[in-house]
Amino acid sequence: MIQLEYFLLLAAALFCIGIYGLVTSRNVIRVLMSIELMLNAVNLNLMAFSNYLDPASATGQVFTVFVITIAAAEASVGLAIVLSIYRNRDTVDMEQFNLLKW
Amino acid sequence: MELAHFPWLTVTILLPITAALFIPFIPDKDGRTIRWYALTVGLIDFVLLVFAFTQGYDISNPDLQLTESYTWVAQLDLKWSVGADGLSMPLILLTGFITTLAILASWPVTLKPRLFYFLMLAMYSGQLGVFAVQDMLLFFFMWELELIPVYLLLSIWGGKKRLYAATKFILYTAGGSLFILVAALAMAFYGDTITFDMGALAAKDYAINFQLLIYAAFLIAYAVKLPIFPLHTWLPDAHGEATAPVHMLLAGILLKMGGYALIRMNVGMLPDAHATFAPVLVIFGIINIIYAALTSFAQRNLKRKIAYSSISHMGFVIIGIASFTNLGLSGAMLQMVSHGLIGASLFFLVGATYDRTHTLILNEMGGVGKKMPKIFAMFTACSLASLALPGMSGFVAELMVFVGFATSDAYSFTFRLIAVLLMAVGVILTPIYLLSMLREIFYGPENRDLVEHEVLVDAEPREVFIIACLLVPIIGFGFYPKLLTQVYDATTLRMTDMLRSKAFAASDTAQPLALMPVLQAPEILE
Amino acid sequence: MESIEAIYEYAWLVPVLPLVGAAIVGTGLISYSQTTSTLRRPAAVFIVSLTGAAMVLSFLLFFSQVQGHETYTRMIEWASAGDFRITMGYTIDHLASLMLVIVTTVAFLVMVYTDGYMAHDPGYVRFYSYLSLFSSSMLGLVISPNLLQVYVFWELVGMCSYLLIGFWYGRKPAADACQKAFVTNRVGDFGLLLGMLALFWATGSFEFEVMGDRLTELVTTGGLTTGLAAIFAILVFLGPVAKSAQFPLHVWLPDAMEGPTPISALIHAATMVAAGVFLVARMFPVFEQLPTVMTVVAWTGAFTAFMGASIAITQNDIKKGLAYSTMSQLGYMVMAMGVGAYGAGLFHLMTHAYFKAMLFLGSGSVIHGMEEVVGHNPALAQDMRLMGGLRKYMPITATTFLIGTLAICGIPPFAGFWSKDEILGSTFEVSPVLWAVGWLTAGITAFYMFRMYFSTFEGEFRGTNKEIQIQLKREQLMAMGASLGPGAMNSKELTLDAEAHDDHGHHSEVPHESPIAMTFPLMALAVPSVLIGLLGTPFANYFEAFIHPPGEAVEALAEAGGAFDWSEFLIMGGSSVGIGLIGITLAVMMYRTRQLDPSAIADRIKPLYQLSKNKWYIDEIYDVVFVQGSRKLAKQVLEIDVRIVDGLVNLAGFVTLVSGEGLKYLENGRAQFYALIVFGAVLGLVLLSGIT
Repeated sequence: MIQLEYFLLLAAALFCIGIYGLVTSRNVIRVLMSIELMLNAVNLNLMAFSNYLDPASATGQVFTVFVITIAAAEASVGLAIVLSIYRNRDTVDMEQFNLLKW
Repeated sequence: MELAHFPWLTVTILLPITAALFIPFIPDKDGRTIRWYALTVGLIDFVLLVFAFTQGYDISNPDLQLTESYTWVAQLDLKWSVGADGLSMPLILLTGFITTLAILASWPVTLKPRLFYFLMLAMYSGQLGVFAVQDMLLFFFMWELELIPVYLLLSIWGGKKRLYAATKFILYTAGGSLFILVAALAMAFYGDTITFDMGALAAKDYAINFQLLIYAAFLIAYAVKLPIFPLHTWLPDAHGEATAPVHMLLAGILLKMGGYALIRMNVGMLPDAHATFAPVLVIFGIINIIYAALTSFAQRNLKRKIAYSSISHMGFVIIGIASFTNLGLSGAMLQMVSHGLIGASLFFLVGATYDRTHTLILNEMGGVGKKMPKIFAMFTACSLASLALPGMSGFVAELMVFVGFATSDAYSFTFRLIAVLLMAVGVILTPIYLLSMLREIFYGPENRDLVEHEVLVDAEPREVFIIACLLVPIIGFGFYPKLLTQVYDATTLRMTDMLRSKAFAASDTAQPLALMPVLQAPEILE
Repeated sequence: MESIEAIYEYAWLVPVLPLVGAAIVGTGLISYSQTTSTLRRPAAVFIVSLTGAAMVLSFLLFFSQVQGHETYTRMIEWASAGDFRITMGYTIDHLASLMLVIVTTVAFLVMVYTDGYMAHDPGYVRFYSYLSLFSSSMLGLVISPNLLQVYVFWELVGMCSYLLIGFWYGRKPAADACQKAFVTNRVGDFGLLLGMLALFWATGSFEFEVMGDRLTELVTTGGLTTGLAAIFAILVFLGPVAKSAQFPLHVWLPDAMEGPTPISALIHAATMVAAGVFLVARMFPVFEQLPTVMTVVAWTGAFTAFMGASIAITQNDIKKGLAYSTMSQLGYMVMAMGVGAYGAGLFHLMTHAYFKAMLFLGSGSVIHGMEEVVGHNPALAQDMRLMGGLRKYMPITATTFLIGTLAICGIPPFAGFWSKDEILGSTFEVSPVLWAVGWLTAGITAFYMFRMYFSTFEGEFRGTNKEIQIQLKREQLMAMGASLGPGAMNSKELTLDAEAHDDHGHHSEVPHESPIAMTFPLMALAVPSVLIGLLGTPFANYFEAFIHPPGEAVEALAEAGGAFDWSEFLIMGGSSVGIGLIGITLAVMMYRTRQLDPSAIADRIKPLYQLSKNKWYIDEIYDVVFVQGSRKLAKQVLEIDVRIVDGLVNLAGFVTLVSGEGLKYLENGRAQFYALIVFGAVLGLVLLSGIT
């Protein structure tokens, strides 16, 4: 069996890549993609733990299905917002979205 | 409902604010109807208070009277609980009296009269509430209830620096009040029983370290209110920018809230800590007296001058509270009532003078007495009352504090000697600033600029009436102080006995600073 | 007789009747000022009759006491707190009844005089109400049974003095003078309060005899060191030092002459300033046990007597001269008390009250006459350099003034001789040095009093001399200009007195005798000035039989008569009359016959002359040290308060604002930045919880 740590490491790596992309991307689509990446990393984590701790009750898998659903919903809403912003501001550069500045 | 069980205090507390809620609906032009409405409400409330006092209050009973208690949150023992004993009754009556007169003094207000009278009536309720409630959380609530109306009254109707003064007032006082909340919660949850009732809290036994912390917390809050140096600097600004009726309330009543709370909580509930802190209080009281008298003397702005004089007079209250004698405590109570009356009269007169001269700078006045002899006479009378002339209540109060402190057996001889010496210096400083103020405003040749630009009319009958109303109790209590002292004597006596038995019994554990029996002076009192 | 008892029960009416008068007139003035101000005569008659009734009652009490009625005391509980009770009431004993008579008679005559003097003053009614208030306070003071009540009335007479000195409130000198009087008296009250508290702490009582007994007990048993007891007593003595214008708190009395002359007579000559001596008399049971205190009292009195006389010789203002004379005579009284001559001091108090009141009223009459000639400018109307030869125009005033002068100089058989001689005699037995000071002062007194008499009433009338008038006006301007220095509050006050215009008030070229309302009191007071001394002659001292320190056995006339020694009397009396005659001769030579030239002598002793003229520079010293000093101190304290204490508060506000300004840059509107912060915070929390 593949040991648990490898799954966790993979998930952690994916999560960090996602965070990095979230924080540093200029393009808002990229940010959304990074968020997806983070969510999937969490999914990996959930399934790995579930498989190793209690394979019979598929708690982690169930939770993962919830997360996937929510990710899908969030992605669609997020893209709708981005579209709306693009129509108004003509840009998808995150640096330009600073109207709430002091 | 029979008279004995009629909820007097609740009704009198809630009546003004409820009546104030109707103000937006009263048809009115320029505030004429509103002011009569407010005055009537104030008068009715005051009459009810006097009636409750005469009917339901027994002078010889030191306990809480006119009590009512309605449970609110049973698990925390939170109640709407009101009552009046010797400490609160004179102050409640004083509040009713001064606030009604302040409403009468607000006659000339033309800017936003509805809001003004609404706020005055709200203040009325809040002030009465502070003195009457017996539940700690409710006390905190009433204490904080004062802040918003005063903020609005200052910032809308005040002088030139009103916004700064109002902001400073509210932030400073609220910051201090935070400590009340923390301390109240700590006290309530201490020990086995959870209770917010003041009587029950006083009966609890607290560990000495806990007491010291709570005492310090309360002291900070009340030092802001009373005020005690160095937490007093909000007062010259707030009082200096306030218009006359607001000033009457601020200095006449609000300051007394601090003194009352000091006695009720610090002395009544935390006697062992009081024994430790009392020398500190005495020292700060002396600083109050002398420091504020000096700053008042140097002050060139009339309102601020009188504001600083309030600080100076409250110094006597502090020393009386810290004196560990019944006489001192009695003197402190009398000084609170007396200063409420005298202060209100002086601030009203300052306002009346300002209305005519439109300047507060002393250098721009002079010889005003020629055109305004009545105001001159009233101002002189009130200033003489303020400098503790015998025949007026201030003298008796200060005398009692002096004698009470000088004969106190809780302090060493040297400490008392130096303290009384310094306190007496205040006796010299007070007439210096008051009489030179009179001299600069009223005496001497007329200031030409002033006479040319301003119309100086003498006092109206309304103004003479207000001052007469204030002077009657001032002179009455001055001539026959027993009228007032008998109202609270039973309570202060019991409180002092309790304090002394607890504090002196615990003196070995409490280790107070200067607690030493006096040299063998015979304590024969006549 | 039961009626006598009834009088004692109503003795409280004596101070209350004038108070009622003052209250009614005062209330009338404040509520219906127009009407009341026009009711001049009725108000005056009302008040004078109330005072007259009080006077009659006082006489009845006095006669009852003379006939041997015992001391009557009546008290009520005034304030109480627990076990502590303060009682107030009144006590009628020999001393109190005598003082009642003195105060009511002088007050009555002064009130009659006021009708003439203040006839043209717009504040006539207000003056009467103040006078009545003062009489009430003073009468209350003399019947006080304990130190506390004395303190109460002490302050009240101080207040009345303040109101009356500042009566003409439009005048800057009057405004300054009334404040100075009140504050200086407060310094004395500070001492009195501290002493009173200390004695109460030590003895537990405010009653005079109880205090004295217990204090003696404590000192002998060692419970209280003698030094401490002496300090307490000296603190109490500070009160009389201020009230009776002793050095160093005498500075208010000459300035108090800004008030109208009737009150200079009533308050600052006869009654209020005598209150200090009265208090020393009441405190005698305490003081006489402490020799240090008696020495301090005696020397203070002696020094004051000498100082007052030394300044009086150069004064040009007639009222100031009389003021310094009063100060000097009060010094005599205090000195007498200090050497234990209780009866002599009080005897001099009584005689002085009458002849000094008469002298002041006489000076008022003179001023009244001068104002007709030179206008209502006090710098001109009161200056003796503009007077002279007034005897022709004002014979009654002149005669009564001469009687008063002879009395004060101690020429037998006038009143002053007997009382002053008593004092000097008793002083000699205690300390020849003190006697020498007193004796010399007597000579100086004679000199300056006759200088005043001659300058005012003899010689040629100089009132219309334009040169002198111009010189005096210049001096007045310079004096006012000097007040422009650092510390003057209002530079706009450099206006010359409005009264300087002599277009109004300039009626005639020569003065006239004053109306009967003014001359009647002068004549009435001349009688006791001449005769009252006979009550206290050494050969038949009725006075000392009546007035003796409490606790001393009542020795009848026989004792006093038996101890009388003709040779001693002649030596003492002779020496005091002798030096008096020397002083008079000097005055005659300098001011009547012009054989000696005053200005030449003044030039020869220039520094001494200046010292005297400038009142020993004490006012200047006090101005720099206390007035300017306290102003500077107050200014500094205010600066500390505004900059440092308030600065801290403002600093808190400033720090809040600045930190807000700094922290706002965290809010840059970029969601990614926020996300990073959130991530960092969560990481931190996780690590923290991992570590702890």
